[in-house]
Amino acid sequence: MTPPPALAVEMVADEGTATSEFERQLHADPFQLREQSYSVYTEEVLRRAADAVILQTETELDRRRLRDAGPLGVRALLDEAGRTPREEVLHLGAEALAKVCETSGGLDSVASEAMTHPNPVKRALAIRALGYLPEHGPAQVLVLQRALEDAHPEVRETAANALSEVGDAAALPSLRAALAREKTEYIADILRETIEELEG
Amino acid sequence: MALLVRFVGSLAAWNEPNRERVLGNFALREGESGLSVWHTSSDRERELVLGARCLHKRRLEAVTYIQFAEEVARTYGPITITPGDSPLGIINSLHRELRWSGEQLVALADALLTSGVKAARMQKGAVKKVLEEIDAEDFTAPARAWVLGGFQRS
Repeated sequence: MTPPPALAVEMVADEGTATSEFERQLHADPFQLREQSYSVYTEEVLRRAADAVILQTETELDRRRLRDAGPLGVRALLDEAGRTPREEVLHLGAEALAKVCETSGGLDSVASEAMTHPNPVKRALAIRALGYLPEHGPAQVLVLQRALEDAHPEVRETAANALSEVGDAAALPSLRAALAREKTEYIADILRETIEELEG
Repeated sequence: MALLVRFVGSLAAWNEPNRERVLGNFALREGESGLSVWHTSSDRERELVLGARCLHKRRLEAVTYIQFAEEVARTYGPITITPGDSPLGIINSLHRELRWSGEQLVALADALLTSGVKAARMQKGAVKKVLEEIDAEDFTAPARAWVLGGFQRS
């Protein structure tokens, strides 16, 4: 049974060298441990994994770490990508976050960050990831619609783009309402484009 | 006049503007040699560079970018010609890198902000049109398959 991530971090803090030994074993033979718990990740390990993914030097092990870490992997990716929020970094960060969404609790965690993270760049990144999911559902679309009301323009801009990416006409009423209240011209332009696309 | 094009993450960062966010667009990550830009001398070259961005991502979406005069950039440091790795081979000779210190990159970013450079956007429909007009033989095989396959999401 895999311990919940928060508990796993506490375990590492208590046991000191557990992580380095775990790391050594993973590098020695990662597949040997496939069926065992590998949620014993420190934030540093996750940060390095996120960095590797963002730099596209990732291994299967890095990707698995982030996926298996669930909510902790989400936070690591947000922090790493937010450190240098360039287009290519944000894109790769969002791609990786979308993968984390495929894990248990991953989607809820990304959705939560999209709505509540105090840093607008990271809220926007989480929203971008929701737009990148291969399949969309009502919960995801609802989060994107709510993000159209965000106080920060980058978040609203990203939400409009993400709804274009998702392509669900159910978002049209929210998009029209957002357009009616939007005061920022370039965001209004994106909203218009998205509405036109979804109207087909 | 030659213009340098750089992809940016959002219009808001440049159009509000937000200096911290703009500087983030110009930050190098550990181990990186330089900041990637594209040298364009015509509207057509710019369209190709912007359209090709989606080939890289295999994701048909609007492309957000800034452009600024090459001569402005040269006042802050040299511009290095480096081959690009775009799936659209005909644009790879347009790739450049700003192999500068962090201070030089910040100075350029500040100069662009001060001069009022704004981000622009190529709409998704325009990107699609550009890609559809390119001779498919100019793409790498995976990119060609993606375009000819109707831009399916991976």
